[in-house]
Amino acid sequence: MTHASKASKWVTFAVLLAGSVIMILPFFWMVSSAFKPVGEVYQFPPSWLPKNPTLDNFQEMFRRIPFWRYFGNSLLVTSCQTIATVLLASLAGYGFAKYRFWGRDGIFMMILATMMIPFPVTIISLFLMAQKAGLTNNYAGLILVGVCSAFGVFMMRQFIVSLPDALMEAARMDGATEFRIYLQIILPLIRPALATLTIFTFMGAWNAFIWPLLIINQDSLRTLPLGIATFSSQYYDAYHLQMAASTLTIIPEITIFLLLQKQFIKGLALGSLKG
Amino acid sequence: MYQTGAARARPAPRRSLLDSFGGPKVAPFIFIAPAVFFFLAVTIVPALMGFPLSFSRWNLLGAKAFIGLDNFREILTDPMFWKTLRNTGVYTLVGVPIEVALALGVALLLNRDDLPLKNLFRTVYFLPVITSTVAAVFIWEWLYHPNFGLFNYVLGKVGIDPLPWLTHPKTAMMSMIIYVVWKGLGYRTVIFLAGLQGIPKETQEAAVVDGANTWQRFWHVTLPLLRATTFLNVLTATIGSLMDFSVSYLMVGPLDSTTLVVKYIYETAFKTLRMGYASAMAMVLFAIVMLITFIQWKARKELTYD
Repeated sequence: MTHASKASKWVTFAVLLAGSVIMILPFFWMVSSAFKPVGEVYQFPPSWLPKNPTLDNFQEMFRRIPFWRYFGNSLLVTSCQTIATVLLASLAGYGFAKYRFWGRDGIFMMILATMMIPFPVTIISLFLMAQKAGLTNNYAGLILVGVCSAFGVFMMRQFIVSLPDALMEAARMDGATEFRIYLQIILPLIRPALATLTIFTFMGAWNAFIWPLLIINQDSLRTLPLGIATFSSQYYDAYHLQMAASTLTIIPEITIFLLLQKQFIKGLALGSLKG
Repeated sequence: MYQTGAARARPAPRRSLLDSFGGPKVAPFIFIAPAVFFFLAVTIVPALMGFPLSFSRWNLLGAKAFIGLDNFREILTDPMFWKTLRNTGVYTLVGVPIEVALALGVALLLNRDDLPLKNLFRTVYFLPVITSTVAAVFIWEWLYHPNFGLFNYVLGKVGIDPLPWLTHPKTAMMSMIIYVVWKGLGYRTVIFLAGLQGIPKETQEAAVVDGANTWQRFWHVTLPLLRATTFLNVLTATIGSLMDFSVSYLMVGPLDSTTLVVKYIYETAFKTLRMGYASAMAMVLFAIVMLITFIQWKARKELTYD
């Protein structure tokens, strides 16, 4: 390696390091503030690390809002949506990938096209439909709008298309039904793609904000993002409490991401480039 | 499991659920049906319904009244619509280039095999992307606090006067843009990285052999080969920016300095209950987005044939 490229390597490293500090700083500040007693939070000049770390902010936050209720709601809604999406998307993806039928490509294009329809166009009518159908202020209304995704269908089809047709032919000749082929041959073979879609869908559904905002005004049904947003508008100057709430929201997200990041980033890049 | 060999005759019909999916002719329709039904119900039908709604007046009570183009006429003279549209324009025209350019820079820096902690860096830059918008906005509002916020403290340390950030109409938009760039940078970077990895090493090496320096290699070799990726990033960032709701709803600046179009549409529909008018505005926004998408698409086609 030449002298010049060795130097450039370390310059690159330094620049990226500086940038990393900027990217992480907000999270560091969040955690630091969350563990500071109130008095220390509102002091200027601020301290970088808590001088007297305390759990008071968390305890007060738990007293004021049903944090775990919101968390549980999010968990329920997100899990249902994720399981449903993976199921529906893989079924549909298989149908589009390995069968020939009238209208196949047209219908597939139509599904892809829905990715281009921006939600402000649909949200008003969707809300009205939900109201008429009695799907406001309940879990069903929260869950049903997220039980599939066009990106998911697209991604599943791309993966399944590359599987050899011979596998299905052989299974058919042995008397397997179509659904069995899906269940026992296709699904095991696309496990990595299923994992990626699961992570993706889970992350997206967990952070969903506008739909819960529209259809929920009963506090016991609020999902986590909505719950803490509502909470912040009531306690808008209580930054010490907001930092506690944010910490409990973000730390799990970051932890799960760190554990699954390889698949997450791989799937993201793959899906976007093939699009 | 399956019958094989001599027993190739069709097995006797079983009444289990697994059998009720028909043969290869019928099964695909059953497989795609749930998904198709979902998209019809949740996206296509509402989108189609929004169209006639934009020609009506309706406040959820009583009957819908067909009023022709009145909503659209009103949009033309609605100062709030134009203000939020201008805000959205600034937000997009400033935020998107900054985000995409920075992401390209970071991706280029990261795209070295000899870089220590390369994967750690990529993870760190991506962390803001996966965090909840609500929590992230909380943190930044706190960082931006004019009296106790960390940013003004750091500015003071380097001798710069404190800024009002989100509390002043002139600085609120810029503050929002800085936040959004931080939040989305990692996502764009990962896309660029994937694109960069599609450029074969030999192409770069050939350029070096031909005597090209780093800048020339970047401008004449890397950048043209990254066209598809750049286009993708610019397009998705633009659409996302034009459509933004959450950030505008949560990060409120004084005098509507951070209010974007979608937030105004939301308030018109769900606070003042003017369903028809809000639908009309949504249609206009949709048309603008389609137009910009078309323009970018055309521009890409032009640039590809040089």
